Amino acid sequence: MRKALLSLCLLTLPLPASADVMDAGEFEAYTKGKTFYYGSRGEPYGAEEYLANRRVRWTFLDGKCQEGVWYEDDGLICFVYDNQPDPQCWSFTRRSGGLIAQFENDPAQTELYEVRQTDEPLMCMGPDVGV
Amino acid sequence: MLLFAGVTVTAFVLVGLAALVGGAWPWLAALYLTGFVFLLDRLMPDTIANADPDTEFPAAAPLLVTLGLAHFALLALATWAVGGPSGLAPAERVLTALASGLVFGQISHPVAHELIHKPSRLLRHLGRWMYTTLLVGHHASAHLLVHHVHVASAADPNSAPRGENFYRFALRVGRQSFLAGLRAENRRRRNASTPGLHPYVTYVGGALATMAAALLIAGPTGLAALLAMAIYAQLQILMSDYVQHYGLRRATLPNGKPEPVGPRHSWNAPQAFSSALTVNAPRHSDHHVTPSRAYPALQLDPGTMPCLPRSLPVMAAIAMVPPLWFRMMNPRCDRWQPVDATSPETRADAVEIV
Repeated sequence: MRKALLSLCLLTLPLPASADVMDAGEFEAYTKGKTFYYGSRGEPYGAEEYLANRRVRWTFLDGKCQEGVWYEDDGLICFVYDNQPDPQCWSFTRRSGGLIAQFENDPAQTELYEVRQTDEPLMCMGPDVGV
Repeated sequence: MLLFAGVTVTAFVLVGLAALVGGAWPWLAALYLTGFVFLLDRLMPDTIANADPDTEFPAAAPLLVTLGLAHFALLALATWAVGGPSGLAPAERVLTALASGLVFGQISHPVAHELIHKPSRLLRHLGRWMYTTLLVGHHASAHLLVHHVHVASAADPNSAPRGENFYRFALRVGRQSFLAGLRAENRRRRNASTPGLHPYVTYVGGALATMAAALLIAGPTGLAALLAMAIYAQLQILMSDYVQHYGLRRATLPNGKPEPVGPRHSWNAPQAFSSALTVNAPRHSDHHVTPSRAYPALQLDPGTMPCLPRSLPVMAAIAMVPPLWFRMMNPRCDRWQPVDATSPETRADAVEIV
């Protein structure tokens, strides 16, 4: 009986994520040292610069930048920014046109997709205005 | 806003008077936090009304800071009044400990919880220290990094599976939550170039410092008073997680990942007075979907959000009697569950394996 229960449990445990979702190593290799511009629903959405040691700099393209770090949690890539304590977790998939990012916290959010990537750092206005 | 301020500040003033004066005040304070909350919840109309989510509430943060600072003062005062040479009679000490513990569990906890979600680093530290002085600092890490990411799945220790009673839940979660938060902090710091002081050092060191302070204030009986009130508050923290997520599980998608967190994955309660006392903590679904939203702006929609059959404090009392709890809640869980949900035994077991 216990054995039957156990196998049932194993069946209900999460299956390995589908092959095309990037793990931390793949994501780091693909993004490190670059800046990615993302779009959503045909509009520019934001850009992120991927620095050494998994540090990042995000902007909604309004000249203001937020510093943060990313880490892997259970197959997701989670970002924590200096002024945003709640982890923002995404799954990144690599398609022919580039990265697709699916926000995992909120079903109402649509996907982001890579519009272009560059080696140039982000343009951030002035000194960081911290709180 | 006025209601939040009036209801919470009154509680602090009553318990402060209980500790300082004794007499009728300990009775009044205990009564205010129990029977009076129950009565007002019944008398006041339920507040389904939602504020405009984009409105700014400039008074929201100052109230949190005021209550946060009052928390430290009351903790020291209550430690002295309950365990020190305060001249209170034994019954007054017990009632003061009870009322203080209720303030720490029902007001300090929701206030600290609001603060750890704030963008400002200073406010976040205030929230962390509030938890740390209740000897449960790790809740600040585990709540943000584990609970919010994995809520309503087996990977979150604080989401009770259907069929788990509160006592088993509390025994299991105390340790699991501490460790899950530690693992998450370590993961986050692994690649950081300048990681700074590990938050767990602050949590454990701060807890020891708090206990040392209790010894200084009122000797061994002061330490005992602090421990009793902190454990009582911690049980209420565990209880709020238990009641707010019991039996709700996210469906597993074809790719093996749980579906995104939605309004169906938390229990809510519309009662006005207990909502004001706990700075809208019972509007829990919206908090999980938009964690950065300030408490006065949290939305409630009984059509898409599971609602508890009674107010949050009443449900917490019911959860202490598991058969009654299961009878009330299990059918409601089934109503909100995805159709492919596995049997309760299976899921209870799956949690233990993790």
